[in-house]
Amino acid sequence: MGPGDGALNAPAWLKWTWVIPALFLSVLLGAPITMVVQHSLDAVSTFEWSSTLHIAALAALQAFTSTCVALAVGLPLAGALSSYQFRGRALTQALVTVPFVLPTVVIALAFRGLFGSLLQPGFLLVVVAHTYINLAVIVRIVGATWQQLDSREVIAARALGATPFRAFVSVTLPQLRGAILSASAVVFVFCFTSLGVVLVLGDSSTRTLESTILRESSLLLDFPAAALTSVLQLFVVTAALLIGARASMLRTRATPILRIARAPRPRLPRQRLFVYAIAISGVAIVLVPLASLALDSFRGQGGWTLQWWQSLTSIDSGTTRLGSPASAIAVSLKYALISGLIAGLIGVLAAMSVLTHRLGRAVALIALAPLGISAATLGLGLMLSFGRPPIDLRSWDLLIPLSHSLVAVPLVIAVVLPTLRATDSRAATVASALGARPTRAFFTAYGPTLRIVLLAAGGLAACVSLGEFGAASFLARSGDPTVPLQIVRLMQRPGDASFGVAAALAMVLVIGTVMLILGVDALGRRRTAR
Amino acid sequence: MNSGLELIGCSVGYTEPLLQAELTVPHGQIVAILGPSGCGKSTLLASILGTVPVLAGKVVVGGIDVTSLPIHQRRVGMVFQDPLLFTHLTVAHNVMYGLRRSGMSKPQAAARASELLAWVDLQGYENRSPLELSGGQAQRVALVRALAPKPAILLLDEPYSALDADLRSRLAAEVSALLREEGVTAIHVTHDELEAGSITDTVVRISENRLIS
Amino acid sequence: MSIHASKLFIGLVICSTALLSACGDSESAGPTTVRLLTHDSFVVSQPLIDQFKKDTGISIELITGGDSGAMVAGAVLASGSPTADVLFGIDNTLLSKAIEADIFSPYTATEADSILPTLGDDTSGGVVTPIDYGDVCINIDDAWFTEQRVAKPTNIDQLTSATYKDLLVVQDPASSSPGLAFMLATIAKYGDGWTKYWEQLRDNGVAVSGSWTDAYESVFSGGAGDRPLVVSYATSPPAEIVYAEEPKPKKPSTSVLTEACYRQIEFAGILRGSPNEEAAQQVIDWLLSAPVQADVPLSMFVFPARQGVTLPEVFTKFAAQVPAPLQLPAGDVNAHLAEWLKTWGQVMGR
Repeated sequence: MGPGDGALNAPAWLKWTWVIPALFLSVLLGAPITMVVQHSLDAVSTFEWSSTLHIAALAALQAFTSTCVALAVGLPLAGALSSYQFRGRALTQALVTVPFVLPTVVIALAFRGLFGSLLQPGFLLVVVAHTYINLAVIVRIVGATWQQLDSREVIAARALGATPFRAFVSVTLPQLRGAILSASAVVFVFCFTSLGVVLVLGDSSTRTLESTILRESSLLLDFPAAALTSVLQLFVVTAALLIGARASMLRTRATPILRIARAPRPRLPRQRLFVYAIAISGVAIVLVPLASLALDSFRGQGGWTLQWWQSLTSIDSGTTRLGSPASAIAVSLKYALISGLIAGLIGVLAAMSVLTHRLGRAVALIALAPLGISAATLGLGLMLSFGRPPIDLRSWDLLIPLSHSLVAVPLVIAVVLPTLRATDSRAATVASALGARPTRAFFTAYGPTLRIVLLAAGGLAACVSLGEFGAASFLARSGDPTVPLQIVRLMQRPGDASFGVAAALAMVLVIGTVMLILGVDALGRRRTAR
Repeated sequence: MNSGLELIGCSVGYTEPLLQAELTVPHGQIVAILGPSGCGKSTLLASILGTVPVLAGKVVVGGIDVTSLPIHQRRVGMVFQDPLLFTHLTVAHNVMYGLRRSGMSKPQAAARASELLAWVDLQGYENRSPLELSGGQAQRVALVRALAPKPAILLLDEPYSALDADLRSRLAAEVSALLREEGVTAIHVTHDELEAGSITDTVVRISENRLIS
Repeated sequence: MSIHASKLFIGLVICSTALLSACGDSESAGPTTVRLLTHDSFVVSQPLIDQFKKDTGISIELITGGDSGAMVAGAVLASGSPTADVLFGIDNTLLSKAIEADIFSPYTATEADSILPTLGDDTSGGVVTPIDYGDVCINIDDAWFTEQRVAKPTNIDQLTSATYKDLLVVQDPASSSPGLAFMLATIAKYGDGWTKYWEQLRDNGVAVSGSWTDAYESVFSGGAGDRPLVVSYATSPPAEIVYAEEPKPKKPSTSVLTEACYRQIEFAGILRGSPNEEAAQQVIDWLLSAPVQADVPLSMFVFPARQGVTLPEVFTKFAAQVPAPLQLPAGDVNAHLAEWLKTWGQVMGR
């Protein structure tokens, strides 16, 4: 049950967990948005409403389609991964997350290579790429809930005369509804505000407000118009996230789980067939585009070569900015650590406050906003807000990991909340009865969960940071570039070596992500094993 | 009259045979199956229920060979260790679930659900959420939910093991009485000798990987 | 065990975070640090920076502001209280907007006389300093034309003819800098007739990519695609050699159509409000100094703005010399860019 239950013995500070996330958000989110809204007022009279609304409608259609396709592909995968335990499950789960953190330019190139002239840039290709990237969101968020369903409930329904389909629709689906809606909202928002994918793989039918904002802000330098477009986008995004949040995240009622049923092994031949067929096709979907990239990292004009991997440390050495890809790895890891720590902490606190205080729910709702705020706008808003002395934080090193964590927090909340809800608070009562003081009793009950959840959340946030998207790409920074930026830069110049080394570096990112997620999952499993 | 259940030359297990079973349960009888944990009791129930196909032999339920039928066509009721009520539905809708699957109209099913709930002393609980019930209440709802569509046989898999001892013996006696009243054929799996002896007609034991009545 | 392991992990995370952020801290470098704001693609050899510090005591801290557009946008928003002292890498398309926003403190480089006379104009003069230039031109995959026995195009008029149907890929000017430059080239060349030219290109099957990378790597036959003509840079062929696999080929497989190239000039300027204006001036002079100018070709694949700098061999041999590059007055670009982009979008259906 929720940590707020048994209010009698809940420690007093528990009611105040919302304060820290609220402060974090009001500084990093509130201030920039206020600046942006203020700027947007100047553009109201000269704004091109009809063409902007037309783009918004196009983007909504594209995002809706992408979400549906992502659900169609992601749900079976989430089901197979969460209803059965099998060898390779953790690896499959980790692999599915990879596309989410790869720079969009890498994914775009991989898809162009994969489909060649078969699938020209346009609506279809954008939908396919969005599905690919967002598979992880569906599998992770829906999977977190699905894992907690007792598979015997379906058997109970079957014994009452329900066909497999009927049992799924009437027993499994209703319990996943909240998770599906909130995952869908997140995917919709990602697709609605997509930039990199629509620029490279799109055409006129896949424009987004984000691409309009980019043009207005960094090509035409028309900031009021960019701000107004951002505000419009913010409206749509907020609406979508509210629908998703209402359905699931902000439910305060805990879902009591008498005992967490361990997912069974697929013991029957047909279960094995089902699980492995889905898992293997899921892995194939993820790996096929990556495979072409992996091959590129070993392929030269005259055949196979290790040159690109060998020059990971040497290419461009002696020059300034490109430093070496090796230094990019160090920088990425540093940012991943910091933002993992920050987002893990803030996200867990926010998730706890949802269960403990009315204001906590509001805070968690606001924390969702970074998912859909134009990266360009947020970046510029941050510059506007923190650019005046005495608080000039613009070239502050922490600003980049902070903005990474801003995007990671909502994902952390979405993953942590179900686990916190499922924790048995009766242990706290027991501890109190044994004479423990409230704080002590609280940690007796929630300590183990919190520790694991914090690590898992931190890991997730670190992955988001590794992938580096969102506002960070618009922030000025000193020091060496991160891995994704380095990849993009290498790809932005001619020559086989640039391309080969970029592919090798992308593989480093893939491997790093997989290892990080495997580590986090191993920690999470330890909890269920206990 | 047909027998309630016949297991003819059944070989039970996932891939390797775990248990050989030969059993006939006459209609209206309540049979206890006893055996140490891990001996294959639950797998045996799963084979009757249809979640694990038998490796060899025939399963006959209410005179019909169900060996190759899917779960939902077998007319086998099941009560698990946990109530496993559908928490997204009300108590009444839980009981109506099986009735609706067998084609009963909604008002009819609702009326029948009320009757059944009254039968286990839960009148007035129709619109409650299963989350509001105590352990004993939830298990009684689970029982009438399983009985509602009139299964040819009811399987009880240690249905009281999650309850405390006092409640367990009381509920066990109550349920036995109810089953007899309705003339339900039932198989009750347990590892508790006392429970087995007190509430059933026959006790069957599993030993050396064989179950023979 | 598990408790200890995870405590250890948390401890490690905290320690390494503290260590790493300590390493990354560069705020305390003192008053002789000049912050140089550049775009993502800025590169210069490290020894030059080290030498500069040795000579003048000024250390240069590089700050990356995203791509060129994002960097300028940030600088404009911060006008008067800049994040850096010197900005490098604003080009002639955005320059007049930036000057209008008054982001620069005027300065004329000590060696301003050495700059190629064609690079300065009345907008930039006395405010910012040209550092390098490059030309955006159509690049040609020579092998394709040899194999198909088709004559290579010699001017962009030919690209609307049936011979070159479905052979060209360009970039969307709204999202790609070379794409924008090529659009401006057609405006400079055809004047009001430019939309008609694009209609003809469209009817002749021109492909539009969202980015240079996609066009060059995925659509151009020199990459993984099947179109032998792409909008790129006059210096792409030497870059092909420099960044080639070992052993490097004797000559590049691509060449340049030197007609209707658009000239991009990159400027450096002192940001108004910089507290280190004097040191900033020295950095501008350094950027224009012979050693840095000699470094520019192989670092960024552009031509030095300074006259008389010896070019590397790979440049003299393979970089295209554009006889008559096109350019539009900065004021015109500033005034009409939004409208041009809209028109282009309408013509091309994007």
